[in-house]
Formats: sequence, structure tokens, C-alpha cells
Amino acid sequence: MLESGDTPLLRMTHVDQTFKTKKGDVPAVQDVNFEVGPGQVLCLVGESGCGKTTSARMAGGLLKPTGGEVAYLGKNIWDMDSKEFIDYRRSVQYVHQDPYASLNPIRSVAATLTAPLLKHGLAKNRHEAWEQAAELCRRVDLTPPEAYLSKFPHQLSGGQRQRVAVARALTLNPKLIIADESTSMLDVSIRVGMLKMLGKLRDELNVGFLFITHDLAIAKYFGWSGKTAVMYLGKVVEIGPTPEVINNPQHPYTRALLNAVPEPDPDLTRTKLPNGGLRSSEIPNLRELPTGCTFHPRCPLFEAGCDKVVPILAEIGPNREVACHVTGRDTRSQTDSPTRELAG
Amino acid sequence: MSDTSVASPSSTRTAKRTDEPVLSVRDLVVQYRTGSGTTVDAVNSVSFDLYPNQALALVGESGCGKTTLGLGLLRLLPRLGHIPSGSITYRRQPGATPIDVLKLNSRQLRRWRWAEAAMVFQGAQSAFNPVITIGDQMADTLKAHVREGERYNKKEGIQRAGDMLKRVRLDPSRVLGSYPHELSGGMRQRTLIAMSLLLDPRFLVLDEPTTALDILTQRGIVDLLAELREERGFAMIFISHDLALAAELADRVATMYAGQIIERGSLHDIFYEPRHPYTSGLINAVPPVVGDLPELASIPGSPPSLANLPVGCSFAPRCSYATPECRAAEPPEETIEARDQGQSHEVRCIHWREVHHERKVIARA
Repeated sequence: MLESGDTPLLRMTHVDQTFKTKKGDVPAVQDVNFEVGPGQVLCLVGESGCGKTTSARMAGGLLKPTGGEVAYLGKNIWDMDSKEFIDYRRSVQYVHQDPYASLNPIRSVAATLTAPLLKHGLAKNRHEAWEQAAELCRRVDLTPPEAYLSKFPHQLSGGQRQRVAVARALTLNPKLIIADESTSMLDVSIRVGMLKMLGKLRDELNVGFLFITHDLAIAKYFGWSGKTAVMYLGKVVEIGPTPEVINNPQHPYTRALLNAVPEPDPDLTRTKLPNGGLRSSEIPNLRELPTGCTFHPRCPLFEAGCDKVVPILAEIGPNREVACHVTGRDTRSQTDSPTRELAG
Repeated sequence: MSDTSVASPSSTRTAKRTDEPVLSVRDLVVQYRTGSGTTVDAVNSVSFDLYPNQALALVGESGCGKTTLGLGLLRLLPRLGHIPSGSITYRRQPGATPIDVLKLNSRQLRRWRWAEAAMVFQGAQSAFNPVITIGDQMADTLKAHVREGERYNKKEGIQRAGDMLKRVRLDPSRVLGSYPHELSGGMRQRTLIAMSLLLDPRFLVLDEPTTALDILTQRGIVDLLAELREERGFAMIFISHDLALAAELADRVATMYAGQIIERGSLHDIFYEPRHPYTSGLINAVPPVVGDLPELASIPGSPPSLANLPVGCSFAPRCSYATPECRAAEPPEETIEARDQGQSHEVRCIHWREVHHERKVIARA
């Protein structure tokens, strides 16, 4: 569908973001690398403050990285001329968390959807724009469109608003959608319908997704055929195909997160470890990051040396990378010398 | 060492109930007045018993009346809400004189709250006064509840507040002198729990207490609540739209829809053999994180407006089992045989025999 060949839609290479504050520098994102291709899904998961939204904002061109490169179709977005940048801005759309805040309350659904169509010349006149807006409503399952187009956000439920926000993101035929906790404010019963609708966009329109969530169950459900990256204090600590990251997590932080998620099954959920198995539930301050591996004060697998040497995100299998001294070593030695006896 | 406290088998609590409930609610109706002079029933003829040390989860979509019911139980309804009929009976312990909560005057009500019943709100941020330190707010609560003829002892009060904060694993020296905004979300929620337990109430209403929190913080709060309940023996009503949390914390579950409890039963009955199509739908909408990828299904449509409820079963318009009978008359509450011995299971659905709950697992990748 795209002429991109092997070039991914979006590629982040060694991206850093340091916020300068009066109290000192805050390294919000450090050395983040990932890519998203057409029709692919990359889920970014982690706790608040781990840098997932900052990464997404940089991917969406809303924030200039302080280091590294954000490239769209192989070209650094901050080196683009204005024509290229407009094309990038059109092709990469952002869906925010809160549909109560992201829609203009004094614009009807039709006005929200037709404005970008007219502005970017995708519709010749109002009538055509209206037709296209109706088509967009159908795409996001707001049917019949006539019932929604003349409504204002306050007349819609949370789920319907979020669908309007997605429809708005689709107006300019984007190639990549950045969904930042787009389903976390919705009721459970509505969430699945929303995720299915987004999955359909991926399959039918070949849209790529950078999907940000704190909920691993959602990442699993939406990103099963894609990849998942787990972030902790500004760094990616584990990345790999979603089924492997979820069903066979290697980083102790990923394991803790998975252990902390409640399950909709009473017997299963009560087998989970208290505190996710962590030694401490305190998230360190980004200004005073722990030495060595930043996870070591909370890590149940802590060993001597973890607090001295920073682990690097290293390959442990096909497409799988983990930044951990302990599990990284174990899995690597497993592949290197299968005869060696393994601990744990 | 405490790793089994959360996983304690619920069978210990599922013995036949012969003791008296701490809270007994019968045919409770909560109405809101609307701008046009009419009223809507936000809670419609709700009945249930809450026994000592029991955890009841109220689940349902937003707008189903969960929060209104919670507020109604403590008579904390906003000005436009009132309780025209029904009864709420409270007993501090089995054998104690029952208190008719709806007959308490405002002075009695103030003393009853906190000491006997407390509420933990969703946004811990707005539950505190932003310009008073945590220590002073806790002291205020203690001061307002000094028994007749006794004097409030400041030193003792601070000591008690500090002990309670320690119990929720907070550092009193750090928290007591802080203003609410100086605490993180998880700490605020812990502080609120500490404050609600300060006067040893016998039941606690928790309204979405972990919704705005991170997953590991949420886990900490959930573990803490389970631990405190075990230790102090209070009963709790846990309001949540997240069924996974209910599975974690509750031993009984009540599903609400359009102001009514449409199904209630033991944790295992509700999760493994739900008999109302709505409960089954809610469970099937929650993605599990362990295991293969299940086929999830959302519930079509959205909850009806309370001002304009459909005739008959209010879930019928969204229900795949619905027949003309459902649309003709409101289904009565039926008691059905429970899986868990000695527990009751009630459902408001005439098709409960046909509801067959299963999760389909699809193999992908």
C-alpha cells in the first residue's frame, strides 16, 4: 500500500529528552529506539512518569528531542522543509486520553470533522466535506452518521466522544496513529468495542499504531500481533513481540507489572504476589536516579554489582531485547552453552 | 511472610450465615429531582445484607447508580437527591441495637459517620481540604468524635493519627505536617484510608479507590485493603467498574444496571456462573493478562437514560436473549441454586437458565 519499502513509517533512534527545571535537569527519556511500520502496532507500557507520553509527543512532532533522531519515512522530521513537515503532520495523528478535553465544546461533530478536510483541500466544498465526515462516522461505528454529525460533544457519551476524536484523526488519511491512553477513560464494556474498531482501521486501512497504555492487558489485547516495549524511568527495559513479552517476560520490572494486574478470575487473581513481588513500591525521583541499574532498589533479583553498572538493552533472542544483568545473563548463557546449569 | 494473606481461600468466609448483618438495606429508592420538576429513580428498590468482615463489590457501567447507592447508604447525597422509601438498618455488632439510619437527625448522623461508617472517595485529591495539613485534618476528625464528657487530648490524637498512618505504611513524620498536594496519588489514597479507619468504623464504602492510580500503586492499595479487613474485621462495599478488581477484593458481588441490582451472589458464582446476560457480558469484556488471547465482546449499545427507562427489563434493548416477554414486564428477582454452599444467588432475568457463560480463546500469531 505504501511505497516505503523497507523504511519504517516512524523510527526513533537514540532519542533523549531532558527537561531543564529550576531544581535541575530531568532526564525524562534516555536513548529510546523503536520503529513502527505500516499496519504494525507498537505498545509502550509503563507506570506514570516512565516517559511513555514524552516519547509519544516526540514521535508526534509535538516536542523536539534533546538528542537522537525522530525520522518519518527515513527523514529526520526536524530537518524537513515545510512541505515535508506538513506531509508528516498530516500522516501522523494523535488521539489523546481525555475526550472531554480534546474536543472543542462549541463545535459540532460535523464542524470538528469538516474543518481539517476543507483546510487541507481534501474536500472541494462543504457538501463534499459533509459526505466525507459522514463516511468517517461510519468508519468509527457512529451510525447512522446523521444522528451524530449535528451533535455537540456534551451531548455524547465518553465512548462516542472518543470515537469522534478517532474520526478526526482519520480525516487526513493518516499512516500512523499515536494513541495515548486512548481507552483508559472508557468503561470496560465500551473499551473492547473501541479496541476492535481501532484494530479494524489497522487491518483495513493499514494504519500503523503507536499505542500507549499503562494496562498490560490492553496492550496484550490490542498489540498481540505487534511489539511491546516496557519503559521504566525514561528507558526501554524490555522490547519484543507482544505474546513473548507478556507470556514470557524477562525483565523483573515487566514481571512485576504483570504480577500486579488484577485478573477477571477470582482464583487466578489471588495467586498473584503482593506488591507485584517488588522489594519497594516507591518510584525513584527522576532527578536523583539510582546508580547502576535504575531498577535495583525495587528489584527482587538484585545482585551485587547491579547498583554499579548500567545494564544495556541487549538482544536475548530473535527480536527480543532486555536490559538486565541477571536475567539477561541467564538467557544469553542458555543460548550460548546449553549444557551449563541454570540458576532459577 | 504475608504473601498468603491475600490468597486466603474464600471458603473460610462462605459458611452459612447465621449471624446478623452489619448493614441491612431493603427496597431502597434514591431519587434525583431534575430541572424540569420531575424526578428520576437513580437507585430503584435495592435490597441486600452486608455481614461483618464481608466485602461486597458493586459493579456496573457508569451511570448505573453505584455511586449514588454508596452515597445514599451514608446519607451523603447531593442536595437534589433524596430517599423517598426503603430502609437502611445498621448494627455495630451482632446482637447490638439496630439503628435506623434514615431516622438519624443531622447531629446523630455526623457522629455516626466516621465512627460507624466511612467513605473513601475516588479522587483523594478532592476529599481533603487543600489548605489544612493532613495532621490537622485527622485531628479534626478525632476532635469531632470525642465522647460526651471527655476532653480531646491533642497529644493522644496525634499519636493515634500517626499510628494509623504507620499502619498504612506511611511515615507519619513526613505525612502529618504535609498539605494534600505535597503527597503523591498513592500516598493520598493511603492517607484517606488511614483517616477513614481512624475511629474504627464497622463498614467502609470505597468508591473506585484505585481508579486514577498506577498499576503497582493500585496493587499496593488492594493488598493493604485486604490486609486491613482481615485484621480489623470491618465490612466493605467496594464500588468499581473494573471487574478484575472485584475479583481481587470481594467475596460477594452485586451487578447494577439502571439503578437496580440485577444479580448478586458469591464471588465464584458471579464470575464462573453468571446468570444475567449483563453480568456475563461485563466479564467477557475484561481482557485477562495471563494465558492465550480470548475473544472479547463489548456489550452493544449504551445504558438507558434513567429518565426514560424502557418498559419491562431495562437491559432488554441490548440483550441477545431478549424476547417479547422481557419487554412486557419487569423480571422479578429469582433465587437460584448457588455453587457455593450456603450462599444465595439472586438474578433478575427470566432467561437465566439459558445464559451460558464461557470465554472463547482464539489462537492467533
